Amino acid sequence: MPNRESKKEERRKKREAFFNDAEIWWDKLDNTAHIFPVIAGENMSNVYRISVILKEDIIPEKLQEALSMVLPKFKGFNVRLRQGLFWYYFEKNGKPAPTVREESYYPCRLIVPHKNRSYLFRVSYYKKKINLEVFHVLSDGMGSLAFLKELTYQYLRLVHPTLRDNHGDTLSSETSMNREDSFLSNFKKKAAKPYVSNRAFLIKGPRLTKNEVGILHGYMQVEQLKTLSRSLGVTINELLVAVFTYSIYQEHLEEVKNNKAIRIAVPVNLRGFFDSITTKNFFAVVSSEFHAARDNYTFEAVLEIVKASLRNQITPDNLMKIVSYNVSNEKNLLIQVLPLEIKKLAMYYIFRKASLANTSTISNLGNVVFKEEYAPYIDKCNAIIALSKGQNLKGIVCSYNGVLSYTFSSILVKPAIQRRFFRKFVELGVDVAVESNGVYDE
Amino acid sequence: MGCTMSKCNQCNIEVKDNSAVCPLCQSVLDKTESAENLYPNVRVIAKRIDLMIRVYAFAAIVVETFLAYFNYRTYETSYWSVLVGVVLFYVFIALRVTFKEGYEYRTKSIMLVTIGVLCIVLIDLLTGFRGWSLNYVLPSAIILFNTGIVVAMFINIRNWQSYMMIELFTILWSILPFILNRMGLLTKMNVSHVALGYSVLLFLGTIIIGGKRASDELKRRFHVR
Repeated sequence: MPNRESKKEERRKKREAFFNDAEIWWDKLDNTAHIFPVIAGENMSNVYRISVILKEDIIPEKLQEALSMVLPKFKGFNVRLRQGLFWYYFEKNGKPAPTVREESYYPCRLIVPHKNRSYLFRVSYYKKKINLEVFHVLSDGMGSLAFLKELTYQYLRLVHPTLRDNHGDTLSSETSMNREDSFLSNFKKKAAKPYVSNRAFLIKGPRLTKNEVGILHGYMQVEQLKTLSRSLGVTINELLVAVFTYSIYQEHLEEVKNNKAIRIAVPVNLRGFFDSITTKNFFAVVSSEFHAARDNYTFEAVLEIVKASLRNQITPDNLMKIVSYNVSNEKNLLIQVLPLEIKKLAMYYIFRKASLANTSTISNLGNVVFKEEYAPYIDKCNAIIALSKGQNLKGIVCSYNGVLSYTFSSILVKPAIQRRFFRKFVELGVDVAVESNGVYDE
Repeated sequence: MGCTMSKCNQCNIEVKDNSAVCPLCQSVLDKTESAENLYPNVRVIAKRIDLMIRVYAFAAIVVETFLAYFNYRTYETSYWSVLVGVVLFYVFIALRVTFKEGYEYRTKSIMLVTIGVLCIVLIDLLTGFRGWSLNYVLPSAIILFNTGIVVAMFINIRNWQSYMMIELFTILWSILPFILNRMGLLTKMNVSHVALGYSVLLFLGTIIIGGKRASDELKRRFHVR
């Protein structure tokens, strides 16, 4: 009898769903996001990972429960990607949260939009680590970090009932739910193309087996880096980009002149510049350029060139130009009415050209701060960025609790640039600790 | 920075995981205590499905070669082995498409039906082209596809509206027999009329019965900005 009743109830629910005329929430993609579904593939997933490493082993059931509780509160993550005639768009997903799985594959692999219950992110765990992997179409690092923080808080509340008693199952007041397209709201007027598109020096070499990715995390004390960068008259970010550039220059250009510039793409978080708290993508990419016009540049000379290059570009005026240029294309009526399939071809062509204009990318998530009541449970934080066409080695930075984590992802067999990079910091007086995913052990 | 695990004396760095050698220079580490790895040991496991498809491909080539030889040696009226080849080829494509990661099941269905129809047209061509593939099989495939849409809408009742774009696609597909008729390739139009009528009525029915949910779906799908 109870079985019959439950079947009846199930049928009633199905009927309700059929007649439910409620509006399905939907949203447009932000200005940057349009490109990601077009270029995403098995070799260029456009997925990034942010991990929180706790001081205790993860209980998978609790993590799943935490995800099921947090996800409905994050409208921006509770979506699936749909394809319209002219544009992609997000539509409310509404299915149960995706299954939390134990990490069993290389990081940042492609998120196929119709798998994983059509969610555009995945959550996995390994021992003490919680991984959030996000398809870039959803959000940039800032938006995803807010989601990961809330997921971690909820998980800790479920595992430690005293935290739950003290704080309840509500989101933190610091968490933004804003989903505006800050590109559109800050667009002023059409600007000239602010990007360089000629081909940069590309890092090449024997590759790992298909689908394999080498991950190397380097941990450095923020205080030591601050002292060092202050003594050199640069910011930590400029120092990181310069050491990376110098490592490529030494390893691949062998300190001789080359007609192709080493260009490092640096995504800049625009929220601070334009007073935005959006959880959608809101960043612009500038490129630090070092052109080895002669032989034997010293590290100090490279540092000065990189510093000048970044400072010339990371200005409110230039960032506004980039935003305006990007938005002006989207606002072009002719482009708007082109069918998506044609837009895809154009976007793919433009991307191919632009991707080869940079040697590599260094992304910086900045300093991650967890609420003080949860911080004692959290050991460290790191991130991983997926590789893209022409860029066989990339870096991503974040810091937590006074430790900066610099993560290289690479599909090259030899970690030669990584070795030069970390050894340079040791030479400059910074203590370095590394951790890998085992790819370089054999 | 946490506890010291191992040290590489060449790089002068600490190694925090359980590696025996330095991940940067491959020098043997000066081990102080065992540590916990941050990553599982992930080695790519050969995909069984991929292997199955490759085994099928090879078996199909062997079978087809044997049949072609046999057909050639005993030739009487037709090269029937070519027909078997087309069927084997279709099964191969169907396996590839079915297990291809990136495609949505709707895209897979469209591809499978389209390739299936093309294979049948090819068989018709190879057997003297009497037009049965275009007159009957093509519009029947459209009718079958429409029925598939109706079934899928009931199975996926929460998102029934998401099949409307495929309904539109099927209307366009239903026009193809009329174009072929104009070109003189398709001569019997009865089944094609039924197919077009079915497609149009299915779409109209979805709009009328679906109400606001259906019209909202079209607004979303056709939003220009």
